[in-house]
Amino acid sequence: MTGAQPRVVDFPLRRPGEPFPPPRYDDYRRHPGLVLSYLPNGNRVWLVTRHEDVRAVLTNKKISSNPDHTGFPNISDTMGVPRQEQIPGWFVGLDSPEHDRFRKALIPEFTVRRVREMRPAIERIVEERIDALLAGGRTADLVADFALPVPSLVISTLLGVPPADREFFESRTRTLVAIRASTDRQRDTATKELLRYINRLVAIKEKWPGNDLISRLLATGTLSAQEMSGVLMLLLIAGHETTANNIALGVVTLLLNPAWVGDGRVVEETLRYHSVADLVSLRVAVEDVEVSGQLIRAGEGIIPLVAAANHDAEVFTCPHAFDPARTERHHVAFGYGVHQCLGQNLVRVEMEIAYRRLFERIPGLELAVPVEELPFKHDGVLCGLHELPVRW
Amino acid sequence: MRISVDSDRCVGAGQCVLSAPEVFDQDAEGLVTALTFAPDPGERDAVRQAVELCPSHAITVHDHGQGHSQGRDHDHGQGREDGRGHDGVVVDDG
Repeated sequence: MTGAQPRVVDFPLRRPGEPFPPPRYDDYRRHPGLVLSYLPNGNRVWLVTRHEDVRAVLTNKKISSNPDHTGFPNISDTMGVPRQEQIPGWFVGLDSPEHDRFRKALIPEFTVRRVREMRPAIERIVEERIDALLAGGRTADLVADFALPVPSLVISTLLGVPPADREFFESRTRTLVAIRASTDRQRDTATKELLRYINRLVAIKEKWPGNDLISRLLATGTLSAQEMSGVLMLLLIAGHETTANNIALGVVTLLLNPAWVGDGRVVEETLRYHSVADLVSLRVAVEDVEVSGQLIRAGEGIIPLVAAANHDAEVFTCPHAFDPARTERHHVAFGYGVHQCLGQNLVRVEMEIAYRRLFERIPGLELAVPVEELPFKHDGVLCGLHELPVRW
Repeated sequence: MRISVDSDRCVGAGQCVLSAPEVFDQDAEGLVTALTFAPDPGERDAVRQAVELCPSHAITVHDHGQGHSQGRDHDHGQGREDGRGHDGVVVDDG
């Protein structure tokens, strides 16, 4: 098997007008072993598309998440997004055991119990945003006016951002995400303003601890000040646009499939069906390793395509159908292995409350443009919508 | 059905608690802890789902008669275990 000639395919950039996940993924998945692709810089990268193989890659200790390793697939050249620097505390780019110190410090903040305790605060945030929508007339852009602010406000609550600063925090985080509405320079400024703000917030919590994540993290004494700001920026970035895109895409899917409105199972199926973080789990082999019968050499990049895995017909019955009643729940929308999304239960609760309250309070909600005209993000790392024009 | 959990492997995803809240809990550090090592037969499906969803293979089911089903069998993407006498635990479905 390892001697067989691998199939070479174009790098899986999303194309305007193409459905997501692209039909090409079904084709790649049928090919035995892995398919090979090349990044614009010429580096080889293996694409992993089957559910079983994706889980195997994401739990293999010969395969690293650390972008400092030679051959790491730096897709930012391809997608036109700035490379995340290896700043201290950016632990998604670390392997065990270095990674574990950060994860362990944060796990208590995201337990099922802790997330349940956050419910009333999330409910309040969602209600206030719907109040604002209704006060603003009969049309809205649900991305800018709802999907983006909700997770940003949830994160600011989690971090203990004082209410007076939440508008500042929300506007700067929105600038970071709005790749169409903001310039590189504006995003750069917003990043620095947020980092400066976070550093000041940490200094304040050091002096006057409160009942919040930053204060508790400081009390553990396990992270340096530099690491603290890296960790906090990571939480912000990891939890913001991802959640927003799931909220927006879920609302569209519910508008197209109104029979499912009010059914809590929509959350899990939205996560699987849309798989917004398809190009997020990037890896590199640090030793020669075999995956699905294919030999991967040390220093070769690997991209597990979670959207492809989540539409694997070997695992999910009629994978391209949106079916919240399906019983297969083991999608890899949050990744798999030690890096699996730490905030996944928080996201689930945000999505559930957002869908439920939006349709309860605005039962006449409908798209303001035909679905084919919705601006899908073909140009970002994450799948989502640039705008979601609605009316009621 | 008997189970064991390994908090050293746990990454705190909480999927076990959501799947089988009568069987699993998260301790003060957010790591997996079992509320029982011999779940009721009625919990079987919930426990299986917890095993299936756990991203770090921290739960093992010792299920006499069906081989054992657990997540700890592909640590390095190779070399599956045969399932008998895992971790020195004598397995018995009861």
